[in-house]
Amino acid sequence: MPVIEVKNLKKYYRVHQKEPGLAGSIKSLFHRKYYDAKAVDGVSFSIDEGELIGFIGPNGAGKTTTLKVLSGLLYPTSGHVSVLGYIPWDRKPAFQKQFSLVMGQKNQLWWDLPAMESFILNKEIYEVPQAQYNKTLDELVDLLEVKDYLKVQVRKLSLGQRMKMELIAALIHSPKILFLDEPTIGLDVVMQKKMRDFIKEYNRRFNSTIILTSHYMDDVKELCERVIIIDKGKLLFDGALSEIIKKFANHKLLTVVFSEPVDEKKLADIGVVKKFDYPQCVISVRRNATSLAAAELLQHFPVADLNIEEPQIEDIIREVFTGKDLA
Amino acid sequence: MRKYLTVFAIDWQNQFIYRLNFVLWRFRNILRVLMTYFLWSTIFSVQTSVFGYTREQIMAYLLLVIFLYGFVGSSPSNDNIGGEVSSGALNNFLTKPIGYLRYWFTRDLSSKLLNVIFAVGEIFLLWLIFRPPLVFSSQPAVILIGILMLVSAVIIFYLLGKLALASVFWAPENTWGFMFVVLVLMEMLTGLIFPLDILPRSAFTALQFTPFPYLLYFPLAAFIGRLSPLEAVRLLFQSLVWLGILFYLVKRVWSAGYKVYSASGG
Amino acid sequence: MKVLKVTWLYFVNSLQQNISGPVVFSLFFTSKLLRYGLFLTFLYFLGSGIKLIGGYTREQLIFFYLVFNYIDTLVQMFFREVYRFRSLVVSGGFDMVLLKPFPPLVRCLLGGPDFIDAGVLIVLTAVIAYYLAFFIHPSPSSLFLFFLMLLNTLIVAAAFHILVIALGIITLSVDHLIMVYRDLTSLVRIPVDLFSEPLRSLITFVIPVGLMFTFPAKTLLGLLSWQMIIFSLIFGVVFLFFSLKFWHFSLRYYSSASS
Repeated sequence: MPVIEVKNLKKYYRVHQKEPGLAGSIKSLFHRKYYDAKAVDGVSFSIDEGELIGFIGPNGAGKTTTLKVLSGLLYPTSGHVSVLGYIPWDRKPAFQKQFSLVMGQKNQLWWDLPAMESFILNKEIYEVPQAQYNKTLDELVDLLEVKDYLKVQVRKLSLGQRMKMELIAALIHSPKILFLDEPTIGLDVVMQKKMRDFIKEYNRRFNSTIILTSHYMDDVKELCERVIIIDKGKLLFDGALSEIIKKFANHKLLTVVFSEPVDEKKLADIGVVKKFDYPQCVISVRRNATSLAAAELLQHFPVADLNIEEPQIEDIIREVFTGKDLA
Repeated sequence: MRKYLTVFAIDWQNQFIYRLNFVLWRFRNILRVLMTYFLWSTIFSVQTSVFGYTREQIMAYLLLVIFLYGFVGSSPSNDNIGGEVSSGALNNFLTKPIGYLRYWFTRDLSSKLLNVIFAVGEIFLLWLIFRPPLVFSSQPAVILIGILMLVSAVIIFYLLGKLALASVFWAPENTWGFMFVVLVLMEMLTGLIFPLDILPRSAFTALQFTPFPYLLYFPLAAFIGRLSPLEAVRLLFQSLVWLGILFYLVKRVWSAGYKVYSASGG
Repeated sequence: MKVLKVTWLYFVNSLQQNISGPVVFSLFFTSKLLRYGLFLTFLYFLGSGIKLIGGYTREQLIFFYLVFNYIDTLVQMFFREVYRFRSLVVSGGFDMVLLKPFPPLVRCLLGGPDFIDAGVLIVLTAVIAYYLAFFIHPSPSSLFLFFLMLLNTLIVAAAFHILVIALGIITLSVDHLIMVYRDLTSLVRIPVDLFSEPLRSLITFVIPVGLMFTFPAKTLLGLLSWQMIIFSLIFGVVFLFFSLKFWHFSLRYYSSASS
């Protein structure tokens, strides 16, 4: 039984255009041209309880719009959406008590007060019983190691500490579903790592369903078994992370170490030279031509070492988005 | 100089994007004046002169106040309340060859131009509706001095705002408070609501030792012919003295502020 | 029950927030008192030059101004959060409000009362009480009617502020909207009777600032007919009803248009 079901979701916006320059400004004062921007254009997927899903795509792909529809902030233009059996945009309190949306750079904490005050407020808003509140708070404070900062004014906390407090505020009602929109944005590498550990642990310990969007492939690679890729409002891929390579990577990488200098131009006959830094060279070749290329290299060049590798997921995804075929 | 012209041009375009905002802001300026207009016309319905003002002078005063307030008071640089400093966006200015205070003064000027264009239209409209009898100074020299006082007023108000804004370097949470003080004083002590010389002589004299009456009241008084040429010259001089004092203060305070800012690393 | 409890928490947090900045508190507090004081001085001197202004004595004029400020401050104190609404919407914080199982309208109207105004209110109450005792001498029944009209004013004010934030949702670029309301109200720092028609009816009944700010003072002075009292009560309820309708419409609009 899936907890989230999305069928053929569409969300279009009306956007107005302005021509550049002063004349355009004056013109748009009286008459505005509109067109439909298709933020989400026929997306379907379903998610089971306890899954941790990575939701990726370039800027403006429709990730945030989809999350906003799922959390009931937006009415879709068309399509069917059900989350925990509710229609999100009815915004029923019973539904709202069961999920949480965390957006990287939006904050809900009271700036001039210690974070504790915001937690108490959320406790009342979500009607969390006192005993459960104490237990959840203790657990979260422990997991995120913020015991010493609970009584410090939020404005005096570092960005990392503040983000942790935001998380606690968002999780104090033990949501079954968690939408994380760029949770690691702006954090330093160490904090990013800690945040990832926390998300993983939270998912494991509470069996909560988590959907995560992120710019950082590291987030997705480390956390998610399943990824959903969208671009220009359309679903490109939905499946295991390892499947991406099979589906999209039509090339492999040959890393060669030469024993003597070689003519770079001749290497172009073998495949696309991606990096040449004597004695090392990386060549991208078509997947089905890999063994042929390797044989050729060994035969015609002074090769000291040869390695055949799958390309990096980041690279594949970048290629998918830019529509370039580099092999 | 060229770069500030470009800033001016871009800001000018930017203002059209928030068109509704602008229209409402102008609407507010008219509302401000309407209350005093009706108060005064009620007063003049039973008598012909109050505190030495004729009906014609008061009406000219009220219409011109719309114009002058749009010109002196429209200052988007004050709305930001130091947000650029506390958010670190000031870095953008410190690393580029463009002066922060000049940049904002340019943007203020662009806003003032737009406001003046609209103010002229409004005044004409109001004049058509109410047809108030108006009177202006008959001496061109006094009008000319009034214009100079107006230019000085624009700069004085800009400097006053920036002086309040400088508090953001030391106490960002209090900046809005200081700004509010300036705006309240602007509303009450500059002659926006009533001509200042209806106050008792002593209070009126004391006010001359603050920068506020130079912002609206004295230029206005020159335009509607309440000042003799000699008085006008004296007041222009006093206005310039204030300009000088404030210029010096702003320079000192901001350079101290920049030091604090770079010491804390933004 | 829960709504009351959470609103109470919002009040307490706001109070704590206000107290955490004593300098800003005192800056606003003194400049507000200064503003009132200066306008009072203006009215005082105006009154000293002229005996009757539009049929009102100087004392009555000053009383109108005091009651105006009392109501104005009361409304501002409770609905201060409305002034932060635009930044809430623009920054996306409004999304967070909508996601919570708590009525967003209550949160956006009453979520951040201003206790600086509460301080001003105490001063104003003292001044008005003094003024009433020495100059006006109201009867108990007109005192009762005063509070009735004051309550009605709060209802109309709530409706007005709901209208403002609903409009704020639909036209995101408006940050002057609440200030337009403020400027409209500042028209009636003087009694509406001083305005000539049709403006007078316009600001009394259509843009009901006259009804909000001068009716309570008029009841105390015994200048308001019972027909007008009944009318304004009905007006308050109807206005509130329609602004609530409009609020729900604007929420629907937000959910289908924002990004």
